[in-house]
Amino acid sequence: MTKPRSWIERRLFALAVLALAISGLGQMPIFKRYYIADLPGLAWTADFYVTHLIHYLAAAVFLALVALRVGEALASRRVHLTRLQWTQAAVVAGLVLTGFIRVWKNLPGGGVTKGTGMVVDIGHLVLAMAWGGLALTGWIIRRRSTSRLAP
Amino acid sequence: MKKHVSRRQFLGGLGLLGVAGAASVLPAAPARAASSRSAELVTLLDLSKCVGCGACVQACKEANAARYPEPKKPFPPMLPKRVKAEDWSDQREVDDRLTPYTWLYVDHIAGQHDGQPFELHMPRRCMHCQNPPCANLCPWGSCSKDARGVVEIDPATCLGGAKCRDVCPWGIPQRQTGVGLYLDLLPRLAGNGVMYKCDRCTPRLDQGQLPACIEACPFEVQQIGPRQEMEAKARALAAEMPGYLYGLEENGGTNTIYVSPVPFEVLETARAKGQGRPHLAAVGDPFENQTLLAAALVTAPLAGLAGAALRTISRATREADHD
Ligand code: SF4
Ligand code: SF4
Ligand code: SF4
Repeated sequence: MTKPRSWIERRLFALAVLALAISGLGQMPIFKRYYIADLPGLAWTADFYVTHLIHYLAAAVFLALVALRVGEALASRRVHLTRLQWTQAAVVAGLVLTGFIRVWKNLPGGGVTKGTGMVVDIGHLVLAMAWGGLALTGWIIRRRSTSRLAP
Repeated sequence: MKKHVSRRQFLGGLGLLGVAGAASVLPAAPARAASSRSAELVTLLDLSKCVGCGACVQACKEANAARYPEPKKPFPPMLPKRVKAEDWSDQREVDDRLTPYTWLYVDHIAGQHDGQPFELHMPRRCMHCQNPPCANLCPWGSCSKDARGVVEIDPATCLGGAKCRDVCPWGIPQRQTGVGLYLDLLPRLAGNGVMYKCDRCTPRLDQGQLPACIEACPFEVQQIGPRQEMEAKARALAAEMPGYLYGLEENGGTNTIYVSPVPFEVLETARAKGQGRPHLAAVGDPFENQTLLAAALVTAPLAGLAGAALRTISRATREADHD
């Protein structure tokens, strides 16, 4: 990465990830059970078709921004990633792959076998949680190193 | 043999071919393979023939009794308080709606059409949608569709969150609390049993047998066969009757086609409404927008890569200008 990312690009990326996380969680029947959908203005969180559509839209933005970053990194021929970042990249790749298989399954002519479906569905969920965990780890490491650097 | 089969033909076939040969009576389809439209089986129901005797309902119950839930009681308490147990285990005989113990019921509908009184009987169960939202949106992959067009819920992995019922336009799957995997996970906090519905008698299909309800009907109301053939038959029957079709286009297309001499709008108005009693209104394709967006999902990374290329080129040009 040769240049710091623009404010708008960073915000857009964060927004897409947030929308993916919320709409992804919304695929489990929990927002109604746990009163989230009862909060004013949040009734939509219990509408599976709405959260599903949001997941698609956010995924499109996310994929474009990830491809932009990957493309730029490859073009600069300077890819220096820490082990944590490599792990994150692998997890995101897994999320994208399982996500695309789910999209294929939802197409009128698509479909997967029962076994594949289960592996992909649970895999997508586990990878999403793993990415969340890795992001948290990264944040803690960054905070520690900044506080160490601080006078 | 690629023909549709009626009950009589099927029994005749059994006699001739023996049980081993019965598998060939139903069109051969790799039972658990991924969906490919041509191999899907469609059931066609001629409502002008149904007398509402309920033999199909009885046959369904007998054929599937061994797979009915046997819940442990008392149920573990669930949090928060709003989560209610759904228990049908003491009302197994209910036959005027869908329950975890009634995967098929007959709706008896009476009314007026064109100034004439009518009485019609309509077996109701899962429609086995071609692009089933219950299977597509199940968070755990517990609900799936196979190459024969059968949509089934795996009782070993279903957690009973009832999302399948929420996204099914007809509210078909029915919940029984106190059974299933959720009991071994976090029974207080997540899950609420297992969802049940018609799976076209999968164990029978696996052995090349007809679904019990089709076999038991004394009037051969139902036929089962490959999609193309059944579609053509349904249209021909509707033209001859003259009648109306339901299920062909609903919910993006289903593998159940009803042909009725009375329009379905009239039946929808006349039928008794209630929980567990699927409606007869028109249903559009629930994944219309998602299908459109799928193209955007494929193009998005390409757009990102194009952006990266443009940025790299403009950066290189700027640097060259500096030099
Ligand atoms: S479908 Fe056949 S068995 Fe079922 S109620 Fe109608 S006539 Fe009776
Ligand atoms: S009718 Fe409902 S339960 Fe049956 S396949 Fe369609 S969406 Fe699923
Ligand atoms: S196909 Fe089998 S499970 Fe489905 S309604 Fe008929 S008898 Fe019942």
